[in-house]
Amino acid sequence: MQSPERGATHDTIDATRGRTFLEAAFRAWEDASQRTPSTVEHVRLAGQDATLHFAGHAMREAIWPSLEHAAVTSEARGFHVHLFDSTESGVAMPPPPWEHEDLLARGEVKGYREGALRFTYNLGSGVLLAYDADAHRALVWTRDARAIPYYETACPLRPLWAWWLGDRGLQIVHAAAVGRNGRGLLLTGKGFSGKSTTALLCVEAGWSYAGDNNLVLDPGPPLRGSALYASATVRPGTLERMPKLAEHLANEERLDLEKGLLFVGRTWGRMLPDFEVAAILLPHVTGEPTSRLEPATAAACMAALAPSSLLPLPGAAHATFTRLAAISRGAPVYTLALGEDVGSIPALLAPLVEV
Amino acid sequence: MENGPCYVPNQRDVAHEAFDAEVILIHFPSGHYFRLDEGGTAVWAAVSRGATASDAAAALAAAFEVEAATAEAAAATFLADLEKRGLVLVGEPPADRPAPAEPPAKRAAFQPPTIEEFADLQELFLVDPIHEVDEAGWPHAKP
Repeated sequence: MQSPERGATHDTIDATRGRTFLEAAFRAWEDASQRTPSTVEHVRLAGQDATLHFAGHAMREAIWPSLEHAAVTSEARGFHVHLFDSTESGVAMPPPPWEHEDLLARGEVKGYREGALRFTYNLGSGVLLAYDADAHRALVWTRDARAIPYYETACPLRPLWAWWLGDRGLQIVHAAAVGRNGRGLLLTGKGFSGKSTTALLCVEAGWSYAGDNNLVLDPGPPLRGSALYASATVRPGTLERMPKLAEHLANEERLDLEKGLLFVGRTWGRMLPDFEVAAILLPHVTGEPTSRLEPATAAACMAALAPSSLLPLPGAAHATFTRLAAISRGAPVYTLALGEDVGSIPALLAPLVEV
Repeated sequence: MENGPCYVPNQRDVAHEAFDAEVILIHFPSGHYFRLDEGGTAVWAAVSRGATASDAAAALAAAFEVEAATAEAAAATFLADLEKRGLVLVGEPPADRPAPAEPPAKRAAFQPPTIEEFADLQELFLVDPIHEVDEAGWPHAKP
């Protein structure tokens, strides 16, 4: 472990060293963009414009399928994200200004967890994210984009979006959402609570989809939601209940190692990009014959929403907690007791989104 | 204010939010979160203003039908529990200490204040995919 004295010294010089590293990293991206075919994509997420500058094909192939639902044709004026990998471009990333022991939980880097310049380096995915708030730009790098794991493909660049959108008063939450007629239902809770299965059952029944694990919320009032990713990751139990999903999986040959990866936008073409939050549902599996809705409190919503939304994201703190409290108070809350009658769940929920 | 230590929220490490008869708290260093029941919420309201054990007992007595000695004992136990969990600090009361809220018109039957702790963070961290790889790293699944 790093000694406190060393850490304190390190923190005092982080700003300069971080800036120097970031500039070197952007020069590396420039070099990579000269050596590999480059593409540019514009997206609009929760009403905010960003441009993705891909150097090379491999990074785009790994990142884009989950974000293409947000594509817009007009050139973004806001935020510019530059992406490359070393394997395809042949350009190395300069050495970072931190030591291995400076890497913290959630990929955060000691000394760069807040402020205008932030980094994460996730040891699981091998993806480096750099966010330069003052210059409205970011850099994404990994050694070999073809090795980016399925979970990063499903939810690419999540800390980056959390920083950028969080600076604009928007909050990424751990929830699924589906809807109709511009009105959406949030489903939040721990893993195995039935969020993804409920969302996909509704999509199969003709509803539109806004995500199965990550959403962007504007606390308002009024409380509004936006899709972040067009992907869904499904567990074996969901595939058993909904066997037709297997036809659409992007990683069917790797289900022994991975959850099933599904691009809902591509498969059904029914995305719900922005919506009014009509209700927040707290699902749990009961094993009983029938499913039912029961009114619940904002406190119950907060208890379900806050831990799973706060803990996985970098920089989560008091401001985020306050936003989550506003979200919990922003719409009627229900517990959704999920029974064995899965086919009837969309009909049970339909009155909640009627206009 | 009575003599004795003054308890205040651990603002550095804890975020808290009151919802009617419940309070939800998160302790950031541990990642544990907590729910306070109605009695706990009454004490927490006092702590939020800076409270001695006597202040906390008075808050319980204002909210519930309870003997003074019972309220004092319950308040002392609960404050010690909050302190042990790192949710409060012993310190100076705020200079601009607000007045207590008006007590309810009708006092409820007394239940000692309780705190429910949730420490199932490993499960919650499953949404962070880094935990789906083992020490050998990607792409090996957990055994």
